[in-house]
Amino acid sequence: MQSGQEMLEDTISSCREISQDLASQNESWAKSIDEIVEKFEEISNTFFFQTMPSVPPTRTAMREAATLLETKTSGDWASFETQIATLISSAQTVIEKAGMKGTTLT
Amino acid sequence: MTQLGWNANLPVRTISKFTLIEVLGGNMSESKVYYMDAHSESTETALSSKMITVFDAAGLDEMVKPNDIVAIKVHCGEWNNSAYLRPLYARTLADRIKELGGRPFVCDTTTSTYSPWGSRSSEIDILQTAERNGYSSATLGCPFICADGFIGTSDFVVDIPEGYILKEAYVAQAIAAADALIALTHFKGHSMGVIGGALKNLGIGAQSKRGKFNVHMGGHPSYGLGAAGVFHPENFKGKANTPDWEILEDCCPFNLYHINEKDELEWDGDKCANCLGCFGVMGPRGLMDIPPIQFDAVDAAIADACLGVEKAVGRGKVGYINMALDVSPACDCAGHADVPIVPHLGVFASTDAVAIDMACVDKAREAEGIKGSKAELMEAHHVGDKKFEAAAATFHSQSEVTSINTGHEIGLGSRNYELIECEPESPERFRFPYDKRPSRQRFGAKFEKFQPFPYDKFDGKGFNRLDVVDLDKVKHHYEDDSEVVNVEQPTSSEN
Repeated sequence: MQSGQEMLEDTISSCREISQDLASQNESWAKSIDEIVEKFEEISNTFFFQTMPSVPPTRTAMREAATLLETKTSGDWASFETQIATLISSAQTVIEKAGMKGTTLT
Repeated sequence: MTQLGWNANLPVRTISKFTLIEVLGGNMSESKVYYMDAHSESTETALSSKMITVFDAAGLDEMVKPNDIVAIKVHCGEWNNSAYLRPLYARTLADRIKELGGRPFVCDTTTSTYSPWGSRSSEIDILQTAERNGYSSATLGCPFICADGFIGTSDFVVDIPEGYILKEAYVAQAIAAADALIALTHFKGHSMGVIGGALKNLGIGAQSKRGKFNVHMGGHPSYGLGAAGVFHPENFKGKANTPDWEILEDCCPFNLYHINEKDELEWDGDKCANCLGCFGVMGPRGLMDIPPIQFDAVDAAIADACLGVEKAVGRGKVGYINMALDVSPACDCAGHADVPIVPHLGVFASTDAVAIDMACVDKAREAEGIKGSKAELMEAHHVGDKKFEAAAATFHSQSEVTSINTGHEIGLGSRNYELIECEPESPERFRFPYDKRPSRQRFGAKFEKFQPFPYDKFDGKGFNRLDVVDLDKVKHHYEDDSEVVNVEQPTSSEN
């Protein structure tokens, strides 16, 4: 089983790919993805991601980031708009559970 | 009895089991584990009846001699836990021990202060929690005892030169003083032990409070929190930015955390007893890296300490019953109980703590995980998955067989076992014991004297009721009707 930390790193990696040239499509989308990367890097390697309870929320974010990357590659921007909102919500959950409650992603 | 075979968990190889055991090393003997599944449809298959059936089948009844003081070690459950064993099982076992001429008592021990708000850390706490959870002399028919005294320093020290890590154990005095001991265990998960089975019931649960500090690696030069934990005072944001800063000091009963006059958090880690009280406070705030290796060491030490209990009471005088029911991911020491991760697995008995826990782990692996449980959430609900490692452990690196393998290694028992399925006994044995006559003999005369049915009313029908009603109407599932009822919407002018 992948650890929460490994899943977090996979999510960051997917988000970095999503972010590339995204601003040309929509600046606010790009800003959100960059913010996820920034916050995830802040919480990376903290106690929470060593523990098993980190797995379910981080796995959700990881899968959603992978799906979003596929959607971006396919150029289906209508679906992208819905899926990025879902990823932002899941990322928020990960940040809250990692002990950074109060951080808000835009 | 039906022989079901031997340890299904060993790797499947086309060599004889004896060759295989040699390959794996360790104890070559094979222990017997007596088992009944968790299905119940009659008096003799009630789970309390099955518990007594496997108790006798495993020969645990032979451990009890007339006038023996017999300790029944249970986990009485933390405040607000609801998965712990119902007192019914301890009562039924106590009654059986009395039948055998023994003098039973049911017991648990004080805990380390593993939470700032624990409910079993002193004798007065544990007795009040136990009583709320249904464990008292009134329900058990025998005393409920806190086995290690008021604070937890009443113990008996036993040397264990065979120990893998520990070389001595501090066994709760009342348990060490017993003539025989039955570990009546609720088999479930545990965040530190990964499994909470027979080994842990004695390896932690039968140790005094200081015995628990010993097993939890307090002060250990390699595995103790003081040695292996990494303190991060730089993550303390100051009292002004930490509204609940007082808990940072108050979580430690040894008074080892202080916020100094410079508004810095300090920790005297050299004196850390590993009570675990700071884990939930410091870990999530990034103030302490809790070392996973400490958990592994504790899991190994659990088997050492269990051996210490057997030596204190007398080898051959300790029996084990595992009730693998309500298999919650967290231990009964948690102040809550989550959805069980597997269905009830059954009732087990053995003279071998290692074999009985291995049998339960194997049964859990063979089972489908419960939908909606933590096993499914962790995607470890499939047949064959190591469910406790996924759903119960704190860290990724923990193993659900560390205590088992250690117990095998030190000669406490064997992970190789023969599982023997027991047939139910006669229902007569398990009926209501105070009056075993059938109902006419018990109530015929009394019903004549105190007639509970009013035959003299409503033409002998007794009560005022309608003769016939439409029962189909109230049995009907209206939610399944395919016809959609359209409610006419009012027009805006009608609003």
